Amino acid sequence: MSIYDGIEILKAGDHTVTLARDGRAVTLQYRAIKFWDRWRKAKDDAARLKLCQEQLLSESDLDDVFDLLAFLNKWSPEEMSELVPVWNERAGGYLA
Amino acid sequence: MRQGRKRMVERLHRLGLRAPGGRPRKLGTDGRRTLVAKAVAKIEGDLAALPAVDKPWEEMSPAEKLRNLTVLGLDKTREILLRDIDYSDPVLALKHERLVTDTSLGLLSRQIRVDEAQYREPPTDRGWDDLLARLAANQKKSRATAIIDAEAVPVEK
Repeated sequence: MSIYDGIEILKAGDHTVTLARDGRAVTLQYRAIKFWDRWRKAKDDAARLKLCQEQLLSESDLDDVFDLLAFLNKWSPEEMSELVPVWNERAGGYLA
Repeated sequence: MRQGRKRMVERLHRLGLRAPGGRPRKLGTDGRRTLVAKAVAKIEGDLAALPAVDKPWEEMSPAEKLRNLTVLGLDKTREILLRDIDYSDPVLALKHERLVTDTSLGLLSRQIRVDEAQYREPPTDRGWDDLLARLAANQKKSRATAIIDAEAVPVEK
């Protein structure tokens, strides 16, 4: 059983989405979910940079992406501590 | 502090992590030597991994030209890093030290970006795609419900 199976969709608006699992809920912009989906599927570094330029519009968008990843338990705190500076470096220059 | 960064710092602190930021620490001679050794090892690894392009420049494709220039660039970087610093001229020595440190840091930050790819989840995660499909179906249902609700508004007689 994957971690996604237990996720309940409480709200699925065109702009805002609320997901719940094990008594925890998270509300985020739908575009944060789309951003993460495209980031995962991007084929190389150039594609990810282009994605940052085109899709990541504000720091709150990036916050939503982090909230999503924390909700999905995708990263342990150790992995996050290694990746956060990379994300900052990667995305920081493109934040509005 | 901007609101987004403030939230990020608070979140990191909640996770028991330190927030990155502030002035970078100054490197001592030993630190610089370690940095240079790491950078040179990285260059040698990169050079060994690059396939050789044995063609005249005019006949190369853009990708082959880029590969060729990368080899030249790495060779030049290695040369800069391994060149002895002449301490007889303090001003020149300082400039040389700065160049070596900046070159090493630039190379290592590129390596971090390459390494970061290893942490990414492979895109063959069916659970995630199923979640997206469920989300899309729910959004469609919400839109349909909204239309029905809008149509059900009683008309004044």
